Amino acid sequence: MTAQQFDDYVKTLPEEEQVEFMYPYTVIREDGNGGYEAIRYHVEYEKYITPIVKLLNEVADLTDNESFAKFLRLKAEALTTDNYYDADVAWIDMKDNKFDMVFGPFETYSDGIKGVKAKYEAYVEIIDQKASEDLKKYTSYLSKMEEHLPIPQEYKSDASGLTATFVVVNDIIRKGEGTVGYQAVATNLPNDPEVHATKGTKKTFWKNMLKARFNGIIIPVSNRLIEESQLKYLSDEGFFQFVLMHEICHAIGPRVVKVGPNKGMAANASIGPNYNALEECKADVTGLYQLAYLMDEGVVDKSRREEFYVSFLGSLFRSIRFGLDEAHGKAAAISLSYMLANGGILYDEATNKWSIDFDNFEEGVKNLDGELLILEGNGDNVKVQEFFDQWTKETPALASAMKATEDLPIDVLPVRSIKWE
Amino acid sequence: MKKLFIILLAVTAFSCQEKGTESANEANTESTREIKDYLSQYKPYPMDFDATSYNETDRTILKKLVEASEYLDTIYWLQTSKYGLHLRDSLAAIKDKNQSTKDLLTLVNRNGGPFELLNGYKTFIGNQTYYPGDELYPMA
Ligand SMILES: [Zn+2]
Repeated sequence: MTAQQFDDYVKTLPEEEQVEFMYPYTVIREDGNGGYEAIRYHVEYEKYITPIVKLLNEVADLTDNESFAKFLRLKAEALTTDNYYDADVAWIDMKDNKFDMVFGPFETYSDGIKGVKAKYEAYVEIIDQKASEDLKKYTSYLSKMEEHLPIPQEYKSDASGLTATFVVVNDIIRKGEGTVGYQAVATNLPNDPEVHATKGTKKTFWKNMLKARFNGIIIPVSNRLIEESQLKYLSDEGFFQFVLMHEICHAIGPRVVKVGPNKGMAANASIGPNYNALEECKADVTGLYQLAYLMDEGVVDKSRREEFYVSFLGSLFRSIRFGLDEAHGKAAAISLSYMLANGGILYDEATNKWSIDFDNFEEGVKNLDGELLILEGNGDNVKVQEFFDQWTKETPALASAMKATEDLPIDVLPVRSIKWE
Repeated sequence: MKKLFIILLAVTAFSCQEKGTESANEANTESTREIKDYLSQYKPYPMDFDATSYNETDRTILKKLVEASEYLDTIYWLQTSKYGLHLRDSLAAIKDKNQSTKDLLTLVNRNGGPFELLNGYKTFIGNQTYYPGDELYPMA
């Protein structure tokens, strides 16, 4: 079936049926009379849903954590109706449990016809209490971080109402869509806009996968491209800290245009397709800028400064491998090329090695961050495109970096084992 | 691609027909290299979990959640590639797997089917080409 056939057929249907055809949790089948029907997942996959429901309810009986039990029962029910709202809300509301899970149909990006059908994925997780507490400490600084941004007052937003639910976990297994493609290190769920409007979302960090990515992919790339005297600063904990700040900093900065003819418009709508790469770069650089702030405030251990910055540099060499047409690749190119030209990052052409210029790095971060935030706040894609033309070019230095690492693995292959007794 | 289909049929038949693997190995040097190239993109990384420090109730909870996830996994394959599920089960059922069977099984599992997700859905085993919509829409 093509998207065109789907659209042509759906057009002929009454509105309620159209909704079912576009619903994330239905499959489309031939109806035997030359037409099509939309069948809910719980009907199509009943044979497997039934034992899942039984198991989730059994776990609900076993746990002494009420919020977890409530979530499990609502999730079990949702899987038999394909209405997930209540289960999603209960998931965000879970409190003080040892375990967490992402479980059910969520992501729609592998639906190559309409991009609306969700695939099932499962992550069984142990909550990292200490890291989750630290994260709460950082997010309590959201307003202060917004105020501290290196931009004029008219570009700043009111961040006082910002609430975000974050949880740091280690997953013990992944199943379904969680096992295929690039292994995710963080996710922001659910995808239901109704839940967004009433409850917001919950951001999950998979700390063990983050470490796997760092040790399995970023270290080998860094060993080839980072100057030897700085390799000792590479650390998975340092990388983890940086990634936390990256995610937190998606929440601050201009989300609507602050100045100029598009004032008041959503920044992503105003800028268009370039927004993704710009926002990724902004989250990287603002993350570093605020990390320095939190170190100065004594919230984060400042003796780890070198660790954070060199681990960040290593991660850029992983990202540019996705190419300068892809959002993360573009974002990495901007950081590397801008700070190479304006201070903060050094490159030795003779050895093809990169390093952090510790004396100038924080100043370089501040300057770049100001430019990125103002581009978002102006919402003018012409300016954004000019900036990209200047800093996402495939320079000889970037080309050498990509060439030097092209034979290295690009993602991890988790080899799992669980010791039960 | 065709060559790899041969290898699969050969190794599937291996349990009842000894000489199958030899001819398959000879016929597949080129495709085996392709498989090795795809595999070299992925860095095997041990991720162990020790559940022994948890009490009995917690271990039961985790075991049940893992079991529930296995059922969910089957649904994912049914959504994605019924043919891939068949390939996976055929490969997994082979006793005394040789290296190329193991490699194929690893790749099928890592991709949730016979198409290489990091390489524009290129077919690496079997005779199907990627079709958008997977099993969520009628195939034709
Ligand atoms: Zn991001």
